[in-house]
This record gives sequence, C-alpha cells and structure tokens, in this order.
Amino acid sequence: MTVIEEFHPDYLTLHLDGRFDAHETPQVRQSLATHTPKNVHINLEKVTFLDSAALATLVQAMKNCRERGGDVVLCNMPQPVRIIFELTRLDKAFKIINTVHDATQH
Amino acid sequence: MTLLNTNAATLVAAATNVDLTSAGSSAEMKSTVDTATQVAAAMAQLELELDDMAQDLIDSQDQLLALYEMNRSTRLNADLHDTLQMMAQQAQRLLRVDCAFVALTMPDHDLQFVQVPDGFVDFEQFTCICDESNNATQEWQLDPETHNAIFGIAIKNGYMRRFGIRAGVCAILGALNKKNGAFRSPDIKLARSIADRAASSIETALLVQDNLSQARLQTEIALAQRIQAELLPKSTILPDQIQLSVLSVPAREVGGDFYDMQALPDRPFAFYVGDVSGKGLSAAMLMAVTRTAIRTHHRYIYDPQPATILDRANYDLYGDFTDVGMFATVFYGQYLPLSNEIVYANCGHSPVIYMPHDGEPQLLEADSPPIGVMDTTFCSTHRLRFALGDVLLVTSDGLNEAGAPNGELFGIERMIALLKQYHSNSAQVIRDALLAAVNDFSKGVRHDDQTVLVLKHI
Repeated sequence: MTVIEEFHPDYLTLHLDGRFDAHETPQVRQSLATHTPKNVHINLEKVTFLDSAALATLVQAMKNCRERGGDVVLCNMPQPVRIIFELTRLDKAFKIINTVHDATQH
Repeated sequence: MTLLNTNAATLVAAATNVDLTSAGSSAEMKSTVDTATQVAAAMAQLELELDDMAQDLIDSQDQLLALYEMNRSTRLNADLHDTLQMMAQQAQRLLRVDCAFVALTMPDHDLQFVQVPDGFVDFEQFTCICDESNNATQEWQLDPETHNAIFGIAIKNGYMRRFGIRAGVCAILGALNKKNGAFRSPDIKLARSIADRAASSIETALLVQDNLSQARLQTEIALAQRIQAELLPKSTILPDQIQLSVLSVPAREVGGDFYDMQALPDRPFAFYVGDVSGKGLSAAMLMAVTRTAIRTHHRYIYDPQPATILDRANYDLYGDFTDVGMFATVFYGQYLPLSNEIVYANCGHSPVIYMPHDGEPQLLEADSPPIGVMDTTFCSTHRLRFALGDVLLVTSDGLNEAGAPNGELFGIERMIALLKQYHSNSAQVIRDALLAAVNDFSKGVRHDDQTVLVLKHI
C-alpha cells in the first residue's frame, strides 16, 4: 500500500492506495505519530481491503485526534470497505463523507 | 646469558695471561690480545643474538598457546561478556600493554565495554578514543600528547583496531601503553590476529545468545499457547435442547479470537464469541482480559441482560484498549429454555447467521461498534425465536475474509449457502463442513484466527 501525505493549514490528508492490513499499518501510524495532526482526512478511495489491524489503526487515530480537539474524517469509501464499517458498526464511531472536498467542510 | 658473558671475559683474560708470559715481542703480544678480544666480542654478540632468538621463540610459543587458548575458550565459553573479558585479557598479555579493551556496539546502539585491568580508563575517556576513530577507517594509533591532556593519565601510546562482526555489530580492540617501547610492526600484526580471533569468538557468542533468546521466546509462546487453550472451555453442561459445536484455530501460536460458555445454576446458559483486533501475543493478552470481564459480569451482575453485560465490559476495558490501540468485537447470547429464545447483544461482531428451520438465513448485524472503540456502547438486547431445528452460526472474520490464491475472499454469501446446505445436520457436521470449505478455498493458507461456533436446537 502507498501512503501519500497532503498538508493543509488545518488538517492532514492521507491518500491510501492498496491493501490496508497489519503489514501496512506501521507506515500510517508513523505518519500520524510524526505530524500529530489535530484533524486528519483519510482518503480510502483506492483501498481494496481493510483488516482488523487497519481498523484498529483508524480507531486509534480517531481517539488521538479527538483528544487534541480534532477528528478523523474518512472519505471516498469504496463499497467493500463501507461494508466492513457497516458490519462492525464502526460507521457509528467515525465521520464518513463521500468526497475529499466534502471533508473540508467538517 | 650472564654465565656465557662471564666465560667470554675469562677467555679474554686467559689469552692475555698466556701472551704476557710466552710472547717474544710487544707487537706480537698486542696482536694476540686484539685477536682474543675480537673473538670474545664476537662470542658475546652471538650469545646476545642467541638469547634474543630464544626469547622470540618463547614469545612465539606463548602467542601460539594464547591464540589456541582463545580458540578453545570460544568453544567452551558462550557468554558474550565472558568472551569479551577473555579477549581483553589475552590482548593485554600478548601485546604487553598496561591496558587492553574490547568494545562492542549493537544494532540498537547498546554498547558493551570490557577492559583489563578494570577501571584503567573511564567511559568518557573511552568515548574520546572512539571519536578519534571517525577519521580512521580500520586501525589507528593515539597521539599521546593530545590524549594525556584529555585523559589526565599517563598514556604513552595506544593502538586501536576496528572490526566488523555482522550487519550493525561492530567492535574495537584497543591496547594502551606498550611496555618497553612503541607499537611496532610485529605488535600490529599480532593485534590484527587477535582481532580476527575476537571477531569469530564474538560472532559465536552472539549466535549462542540469539539461539538462547529464540529458545526462551519459543518456551514462553508455548506456555502462552497452553494457557490460552486452558482458558477455552472444554466441557460445559448444555441445556437439553441445545447442541453446540465450537472450534478456534489461531493463525499463529496464540491468537485474539475467543469463545466461552457458562452454565450456572441461577443464570441463563450463555455463549459468546469475540475477536480482538490484530493477532499474536498482544491480541491473546487482551482476549484473556475481555473474556474475564464478560465472565465476571455474567456471573455477578444483578440482571444479566446481554446489552448490559457488554456495556459494563466496555466500561471496564475502554481505557486499556485505548492505551494499546486495539478493540474487540463480541457477540454474546443466552438461551432461554422456557420461552425457546435466544437473547443477544452484538458489539461489532460479524458474521452471525441465524437460520430458522422454516425460513431463510438472516444476518444478525451488530448495532454497536466493538468494545474499546467508544466509552459507551450503543448495543441493545435483541430476542430471537430458537425452536427445534433452528441453527445459529457465529464465526470470526478469519473465515469470511479467508482469501483464495487469486485474492478473492470467501465471503458471507458462501457461508450462507453452506448453512442452507448443511443446516439439517448436527452442529459438529455444520462446523466441520464450513471449516473444510474455507480451508479448501484458501488452499490451506490461514492469515487470521478462525473461530466457528454452531448452536442448534435439537
């Protein structure tokens, strides 16, 4: 999986591409630990699969951002990924929007 | 040597005496004396050379014995610190220096420093020596004028040699204050030879250390595996109407999946399946505490409603899960024999499939995120008719997310199709059929823990 960081004045956007599983979580954790953003937008448009370790990474990012007074916004969720969030009811815990552009409104 | 020199002097004196008594002319006498003196001087020189050669021979023999001793000690001595100590001792003795040391830097920047005699230089002084090495690639000598000021001790001279052991592991052999002179070519050759021996000895000690660590880890994992197996229920008295078959297979030695059953006299029969995010030892540890929290609430809570039990467990564990960045999905159910019902609550667990004997399979979706995600759950207690022939299938996502070699996932639809095909069989047959189908689909490759619980009303 590739992770592209895009810096904005108020938030960090991570564009993820590929299979997001336990092998790939360290680079996302590293990026978030390095920049310690208050707000993070995670673009999942090109993510083909998430496992529980990836979900745990997103949950941890959400908790950290909320502690700093910000939040994690998940954007462009493809259908297979959306199903995983619905089955685990993590869709109740996250802010999920359709486009990266919409995320800037949050 | 002393004896030989005395003999040479006696010879000169004897020759002089003979000449004084028997010679006819002073010229002849002087010539004879000169010859005798020259012979005596030549003999003395030869004796000196012989003495040096004998000493060299003794030294060489000593060095060979010492190197042999180093090799032998390497085989006998597996401890890394002892190996470094022995290398420093031998270097000090063979190189004839006031102090010898061996320093070892590890990939994690851990430094081991052993010197003989202990305390000759302190750590700061040693750091000064190593800083100097930045300009020298493999071996270098200390400038005594510079270092006397830094060390505050009398450093006459010093020789250092750096040598690699393996990737990320580097060592320095150092010798300070050569007795009787400077470090000459034979000393440096000997130091190189000692460094070569030291490299192989240290490598052996590191290998032994690695193997020991690996063996210790394997033992601990085996112990964890046994403890986890002990935590899973072996036999539980089931309600008469219930057939239950369950199996959990971790992807590694231990895993984060768990299941449990509780049959207490004053409580409804309870069963639950959980899945801690991640795999391995960390997941296994959290699996144990999650199971304990649920068990405790099931046993002691005043009104053991499924949603209340999971909410209390979440309350207990939220902080711990947050600290370690993990969560756990849990499906918790109770069978009520009087009303032939299952009551359940579901925190993020999937898939759970209910198949009534007279209807189509239904997916029982969670209504709350997993335990540990938020400080409160949103789950409710749901009721389900559970009559003769009804089947409930609860698995971990290690089954529906099992992948074929082409990347395709097994999926929930295949599980539903299998349940429709096998639901009239016993719980164990359904369980085994599902596991076999998943195993066949993924060609035996298991990336995640797999747990199957089948409950059937008989």
